[in-house]
Amino acid sequence: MKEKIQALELALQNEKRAREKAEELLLRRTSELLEIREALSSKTHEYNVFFENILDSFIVMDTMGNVIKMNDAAVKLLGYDIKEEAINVVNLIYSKDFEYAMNSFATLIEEGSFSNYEARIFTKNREIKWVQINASLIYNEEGEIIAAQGIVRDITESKETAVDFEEQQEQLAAIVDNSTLGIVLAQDRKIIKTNNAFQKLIQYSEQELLGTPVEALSYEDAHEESRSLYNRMVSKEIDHYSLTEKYKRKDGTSFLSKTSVTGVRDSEGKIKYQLAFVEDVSVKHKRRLMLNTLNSLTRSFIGKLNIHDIAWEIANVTARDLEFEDCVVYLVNKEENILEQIAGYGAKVDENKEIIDKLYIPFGKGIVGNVAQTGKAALVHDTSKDERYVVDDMRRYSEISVPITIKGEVVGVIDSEHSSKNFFTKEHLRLLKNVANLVSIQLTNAVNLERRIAAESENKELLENLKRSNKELRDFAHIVSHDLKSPLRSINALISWFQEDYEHVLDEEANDTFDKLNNKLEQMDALIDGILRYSSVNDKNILTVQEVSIKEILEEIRTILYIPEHIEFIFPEDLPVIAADKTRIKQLFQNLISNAIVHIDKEKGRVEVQYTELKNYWKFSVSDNGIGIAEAYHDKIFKIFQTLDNKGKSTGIGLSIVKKIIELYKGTISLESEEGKGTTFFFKLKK
Amino acid sequence: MLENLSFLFIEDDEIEVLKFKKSLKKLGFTHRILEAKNGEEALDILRKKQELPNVILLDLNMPKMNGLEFLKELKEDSHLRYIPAIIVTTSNNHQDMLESYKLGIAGYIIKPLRYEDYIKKIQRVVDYWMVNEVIEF
Repeated sequence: MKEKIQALELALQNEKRAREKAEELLLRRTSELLEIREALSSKTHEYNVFFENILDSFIVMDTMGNVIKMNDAAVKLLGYDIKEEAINVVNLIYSKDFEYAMNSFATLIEEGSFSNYEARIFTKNREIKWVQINASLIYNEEGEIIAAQGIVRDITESKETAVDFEEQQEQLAAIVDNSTLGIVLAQDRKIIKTNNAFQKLIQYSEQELLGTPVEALSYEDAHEESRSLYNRMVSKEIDHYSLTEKYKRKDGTSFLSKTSVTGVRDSEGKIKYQLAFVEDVSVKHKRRLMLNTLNSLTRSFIGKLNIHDIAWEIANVTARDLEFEDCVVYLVNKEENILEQIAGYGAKVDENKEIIDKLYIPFGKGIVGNVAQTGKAALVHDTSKDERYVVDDMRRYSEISVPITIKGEVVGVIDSEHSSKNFFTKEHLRLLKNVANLVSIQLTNAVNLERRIAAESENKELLENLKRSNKELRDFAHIVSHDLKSPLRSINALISWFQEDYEHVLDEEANDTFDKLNNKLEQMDALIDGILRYSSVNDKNILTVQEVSIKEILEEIRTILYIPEHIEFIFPEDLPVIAADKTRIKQLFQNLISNAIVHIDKEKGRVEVQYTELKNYWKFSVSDNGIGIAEAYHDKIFKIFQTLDNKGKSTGIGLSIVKKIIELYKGTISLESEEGKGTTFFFKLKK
Repeated sequence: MLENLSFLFIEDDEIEVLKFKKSLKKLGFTHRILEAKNGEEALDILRKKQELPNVILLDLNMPKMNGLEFLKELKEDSHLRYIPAIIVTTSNNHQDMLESYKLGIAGYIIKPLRYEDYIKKIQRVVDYWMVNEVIEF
């Protein structure tokens, strides 16, 4: 209630004050009017005197605006002449100035005159002209308004230049005030004018800056350079210079600036003003700095596949380039659940490159431990307000801590602390995150590379093993055959010596037994030879490719093998020459032919080799009229050590070797046989 | 031509040594036989140079230093390399034969199973070397 009354009282007071003001205004207006009227009345009498002599355009019009009198100057200005046509001034008014003209006319009627009316008009040939009009009313004796007269002055030219100047000034002011560059005008290196941008940048007001020596605002570092450049400008050596300097703000912080200074000279060429453009390049500078840091880190990572080496690069490069007080890289030790320092800017190392007084941080403890646990980077502006912070030797007020993550798992932390608050920025955070990513990529690559190297060496090892075991296998067959054959020779010699030494006591039966013993030795020797041959069929070391004439092979076999008189060995004249290993092909035919010969039980034996050429194969057959092979054994005979006779004549290796050789030449073997009538082996060798 | 040659017989199997000696005796030869159980022992004998053989006969499969290894050492010695070396082995392995000839041998003899065949082979070898002019050290 009380408040309401107070408000009403206040409103009433305001109303009263407004009324008083209005009355005061009205009074003043009336007295002004009276003064003007008096002044004008004296003038009306004078007008005829100078009417014709006046140089300016002079017009008299009636109350409707119709021109009733005009001098030559007016004709010249407007292009119209009332001697030729009627003119109404309303038609001359430039459309945009119509309202202004009407108001002025009203003023004229109301007050009897107006002065310094400035507006645009259209001339007869539609030119737009700026005119200044001073007008007054003409009354008759009775005091009635009968006409209005006016002096019209052409001000087009001056108006245009005035507009230009004004506009330019406005434009310039707009530029200066809205410029993002700080602009400083100085005289004798003392500030006389500054723009908004500069005031904002430096945090001082225009007033505060006025008269301040320019050097008072910047750090000393660049003063000498600045002075020497200024002196060169004074001595007319240069007109312009630019330099990088650091400015102090009112709040004590600073910014890096690129300052361009231009000298404004007077007519004698002396420096009158110094115009300086100040650009805050701190952000640019920082960005460039960070980009450079990232670049140099990326470069230094090349070829480093070990996290320890990479960590040292991070610690040293970031601390050095970004002016950090320290930079520590920790590695997560999963087994012990701690973080172990693996690098640190300025950290001392022993001869094994191990850090002396290494830092250990339990997982989850402090900001670093927390970052390692959560995998989230931390940017702490004020550690005294962060409960995670653990004071080590002394409190450092700001801290930045970024995890290094590989496949979602934190493997390390990059950390830096600084003695003052708010040292680390979002840009620092972004940079360190980038570095962490880089490390992650590098280490992932390193791990992949290690794996690849491991896999390659494993493959190599496997290959070596395979080679070795192949060789071992050959050596094994070789050594075994030697070791088995040698005792056979010894036994044979020992038997001979025994027979010689006891010749006089040994009867025929004893000697017969010794013969049988020697026979067995021979069988065993042949078996060992067979195994050796079998194992060496696909020994690449002794496999050659040469032109092999089958006819020559068969002729050789005829001379090597003992072919009894009653057995006929036939082969056609027309036999191919094939590309193969001669020894193998000879082994193949020899085994089949000797098998055939051995198994002939007929009085008149016959062994025949035949041949047909197929598109991709050479097809041969070896047939005999021997005992034949029961069908049940057709598969079995090709298996090693399988022999069908038990006379000890064959080792059971021959057909196995045959099959192996045929397989070597990507061929097949089959047989047709009728017991008691004979056998035919068919085989194909790939061309 | 020498009536009495000296052979260095390198062989680890004593029955083989006996066979060789008995064969020579049976054939009525009176050549001198130096014995070594392996390559190392043979090199020791040769390097002493008190008595150098006219011909070396050696087995391939021996303990410690085998025949091929012995051959390599022998052929590296500027002096001993001229002594003809003949392989006497059970191995008809192609690789062995090739390696031996590469290193420079004077012969490659495969031990036959039968003792009488062996004697015949030895006789031919000894006869051959008896008609040869050999270097006398």
